[in-house]
Amino acid sequence: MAGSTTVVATERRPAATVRPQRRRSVRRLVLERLAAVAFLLPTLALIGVFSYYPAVRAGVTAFTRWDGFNPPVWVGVQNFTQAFGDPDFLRSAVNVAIWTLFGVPLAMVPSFVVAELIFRLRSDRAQFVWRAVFVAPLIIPPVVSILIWQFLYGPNGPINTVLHSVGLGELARSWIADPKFALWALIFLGFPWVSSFNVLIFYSGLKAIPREVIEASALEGAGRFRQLVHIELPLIAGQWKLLLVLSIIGVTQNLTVPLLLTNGGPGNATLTPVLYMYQRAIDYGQYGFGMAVGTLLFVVVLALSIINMRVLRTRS
Amino acid sequence: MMRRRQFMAATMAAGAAALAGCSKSSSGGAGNGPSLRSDGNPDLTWKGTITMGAQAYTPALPGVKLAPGTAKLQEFGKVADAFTALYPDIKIKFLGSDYTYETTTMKTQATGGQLPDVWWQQHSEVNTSFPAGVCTNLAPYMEKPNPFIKGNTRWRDVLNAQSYTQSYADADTQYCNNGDFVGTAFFYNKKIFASAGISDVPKTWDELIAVCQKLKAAGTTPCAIPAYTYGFGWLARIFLANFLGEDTCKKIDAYSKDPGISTTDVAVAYKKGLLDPRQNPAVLAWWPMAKELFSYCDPQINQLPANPPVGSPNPEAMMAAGKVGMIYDGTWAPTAVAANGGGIEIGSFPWPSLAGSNQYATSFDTANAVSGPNAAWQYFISSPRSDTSLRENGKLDAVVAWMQFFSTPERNTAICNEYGSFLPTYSGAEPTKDLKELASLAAEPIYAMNGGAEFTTEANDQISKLFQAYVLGQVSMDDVTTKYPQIMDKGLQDYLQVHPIDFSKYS
Amino acid sequence: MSAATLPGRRSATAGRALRKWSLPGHFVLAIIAVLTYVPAYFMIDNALRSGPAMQASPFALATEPKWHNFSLAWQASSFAYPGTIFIVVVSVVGIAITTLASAYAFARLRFREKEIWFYTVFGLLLIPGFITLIPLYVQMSDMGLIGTRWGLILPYLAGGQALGVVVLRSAIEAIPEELFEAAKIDGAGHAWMFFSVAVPLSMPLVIALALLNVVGLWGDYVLPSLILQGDSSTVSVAITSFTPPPMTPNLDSYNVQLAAFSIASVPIAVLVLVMMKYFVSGLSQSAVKL
Repeated sequence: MAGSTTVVATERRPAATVRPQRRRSVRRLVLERLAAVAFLLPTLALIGVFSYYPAVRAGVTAFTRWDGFNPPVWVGVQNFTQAFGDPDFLRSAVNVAIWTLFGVPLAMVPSFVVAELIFRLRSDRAQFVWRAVFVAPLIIPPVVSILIWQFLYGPNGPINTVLHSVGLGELARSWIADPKFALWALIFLGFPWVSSFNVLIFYSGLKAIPREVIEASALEGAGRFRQLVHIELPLIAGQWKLLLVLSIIGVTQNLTVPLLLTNGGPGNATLTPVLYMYQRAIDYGQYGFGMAVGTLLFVVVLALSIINMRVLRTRS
Repeated sequence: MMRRRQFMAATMAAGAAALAGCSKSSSGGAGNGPSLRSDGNPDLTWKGTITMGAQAYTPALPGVKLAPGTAKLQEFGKVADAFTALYPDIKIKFLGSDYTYETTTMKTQATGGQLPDVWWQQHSEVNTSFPAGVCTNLAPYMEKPNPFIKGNTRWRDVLNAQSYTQSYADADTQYCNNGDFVGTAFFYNKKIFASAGISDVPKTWDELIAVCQKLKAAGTTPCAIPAYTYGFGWLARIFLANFLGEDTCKKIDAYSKDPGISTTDVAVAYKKGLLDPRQNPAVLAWWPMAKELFSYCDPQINQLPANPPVGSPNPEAMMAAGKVGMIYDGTWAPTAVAANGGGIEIGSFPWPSLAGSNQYATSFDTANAVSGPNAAWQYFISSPRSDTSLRENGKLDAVVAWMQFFSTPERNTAICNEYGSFLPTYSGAEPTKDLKELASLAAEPIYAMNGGAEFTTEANDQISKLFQAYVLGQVSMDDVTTKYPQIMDKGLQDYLQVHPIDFSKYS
Repeated sequence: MSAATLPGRRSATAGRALRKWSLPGHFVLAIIAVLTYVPAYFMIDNALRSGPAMQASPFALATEPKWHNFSLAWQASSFAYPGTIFIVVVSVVGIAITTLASAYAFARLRFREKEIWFYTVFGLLLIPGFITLIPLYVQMSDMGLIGTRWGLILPYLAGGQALGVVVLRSAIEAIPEELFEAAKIDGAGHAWMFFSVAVPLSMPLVIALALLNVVGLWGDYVLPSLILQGDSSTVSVAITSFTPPPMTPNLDSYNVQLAAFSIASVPIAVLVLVMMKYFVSGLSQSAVKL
């Protein structure tokens, strides 16, 4: 865009203030750069000092052996080769892949359903009330939820009790202590999986669909379902993309659920890379190794996010 | 000033030593201490406030926050007042229950130089999972007289010798001031036992299993023991010592010249094959027995992982709710259950005799092997690196003096007995009458070893998980036979990197 | 085109056009809502019970409510509220201002390597928090900020940048070009366009993000436990201190904690209700996407 002005701009500007195009655009560019600096400075300064500086220091320790207190000892890429040679790490990679595959849709679809249902209500007041209802749960500490699910999944917990009472007693088991089911139990934790933030985002997207589009489709005789699939979903593709990236990040970085409920067990059935990193670094005092794993995780998720944002470019 | 430069030089030398993988502790001023005043007390020149995390013995002073519902103690506060009376410029500030004692938090604070001056922690944690250099080595001070004990020529003389050995990092490095003792026992609900038709407490292993069966038939959960937290850690001590037999235990004890079994002793024993299942099948022979016991224990408690969320099921609460027949727990448990006011009448009995229960079992009474100096009086002093305020001129001397001041037999007795859950162990200390019968436990030799789980945090964690998995039926004995030596071998290897041992010295 | 399709004009066809349905919608929403509120019920119910009672049956209704739990909880945590409110308010407002500014720059200004700078900010979302915990803590210690409120506010300000900038950038990008053009005609520079166009129109999203930040910072535990202790603790740290030290079990301590959490959620609940009104209007103009 450098060196050119839009047709619209010149059309509207009164003749008396027209200046030579080249000089104005160069000056404007310089001013824009200065403005950019001014606008960006607080953000960049803050993240530079308090986010990137510690992160880089952490990243450097990926090439050392460090107990978290005494001076680190340089070991080159040994931590990385050790990680790839560790069956526990490889298992954790498989686990997180499965978790992402199933957990991400779970993070998004139910919230969308709620947003859609609210959007479709007739009265604005009802919409307001329901939005408030679904946002309020934000205030409950997540640990409470974890505790509840620990009870629900317990060997004598409600889930098993219900299974027994409807005659499906053979299905009853100790959900988070059974190597075959533990990971699934954690993935499906949190029913009905409605996230307040996601509901708000989807709802704002739905609200932003221009009225004319929907009315036009109605005039053409489109039923509810066709409206949903052909109009609404594509037009909120941007929201889906954003929440897809955020959900992937959320699922891959979830530490409290596997840490508190199973600590990666039984065996390594619920071990995720983040938990593996936490155990090695914090519990065993192998910070250098933990950082190496963290760096690998970071690179993979960054790549996924960039792919996601490039491949699915939104058309406004 | 001269002193400060000496401290810094010592710290940097310690840093270099740590780089070289040396295990010796680092600290400023190695036990020389300040000169004495005319009244025989040390001459302290530093002025300020000493911070102390006294854990269970924290007094209820104004400004000290306590967890709602905990007992309000006075003794330590009185001791602090007495100290300030002697040294008016030095105050003691006790940390409230908002100080978490969580090892992760403490290790992080150490890295930032923010630890308090004196604090509680489990000696096994400090010796295995805390990096070298976090604490001041107290051994040099303990070899010298404690100026606050009349007639004392060596501080170490008033300390329980076994506790000292069990809590040191190695023969020359003692970070822990260990002064009390905790017992363990089975605590049972008298009413539930009576209604299940159990008239006598079990005295042998077979009787214990029979009791469990009776309780199960009566419809109660027989027992509750957390398989991860206490499973291997506690049961290994009882079974290993018993299956090895008294003579072997004495032999292992004798490896290092200090009384009581230290990690060094365990390392040598493992290397010689006494604790290696590949050479001594007795090492794993008790696992199936443990599995049988856990089959009568509450499954949800069995399954609890390493860091269950606060509010998770726990044996004491189950006991207080009347939902379990008995629990195997520390001597702190009955107080908690009773304080609940549910009216549960509790009796206790020690771990039953194992004689005749297995081909390797002996008649050696190892019920006290789980007891030990793992209670509330385990105090450590930070180093100038983990607590930057200790770099102040003369402060370390003042902090050591404070520790020497409260570490007298009279104060040890008063403080421990006021709380009443643990036994004081300084020489001449008398426990409260409720714990009188446990008093002998602290005096008897304890052959407590975990077979190698004491080498590193990783070894302990991995073996505890393996045990839990086996007990829950998730892995077979074959898996265990393969994995156990792998875990212990690695543990020993990592341990030797920090604490090298010359095995040729041990015959 | 008929009058029915002009924007803003309601008509019978428009009402039917959206094919809204009510009763089944309300019903399904009600079921989902009840399920979503189970944790809230659990928290308040058990805040009124004792440990063993919770152990015996976690979801039973509190038949003899222990109101005493609430007074204990208040006594032990009330001191922390002023400090925490200060920290959270300053952090959230600071995040809002700084992320708005940067989002505007990314959305509307041209400069070299804009995308790379954007990814620099975005990339922070991908770093798990605890990796940087120790180096950050050491840094705070070196800077002498331990025990000070700014030792917490500054890392919070930094931590809130990534999500805010990403979300607000697309919010500002979605503002119709004509509005900015109209400002330019009047000779407006970027500062004016920022304050008079971008800020008001992205306000609903700013508030949504602010709410999210308030909730997140209010409940944060790990960093505050390291930076602020004792009398200057934050609310969540003060509440966690209700757990007695090891080997001194207090069977009701968790229930008192739940009572404290319940009390702590009241200011947030009030804030949420008050703020809900503010992002009703103008949502259609500030749709967020990537």
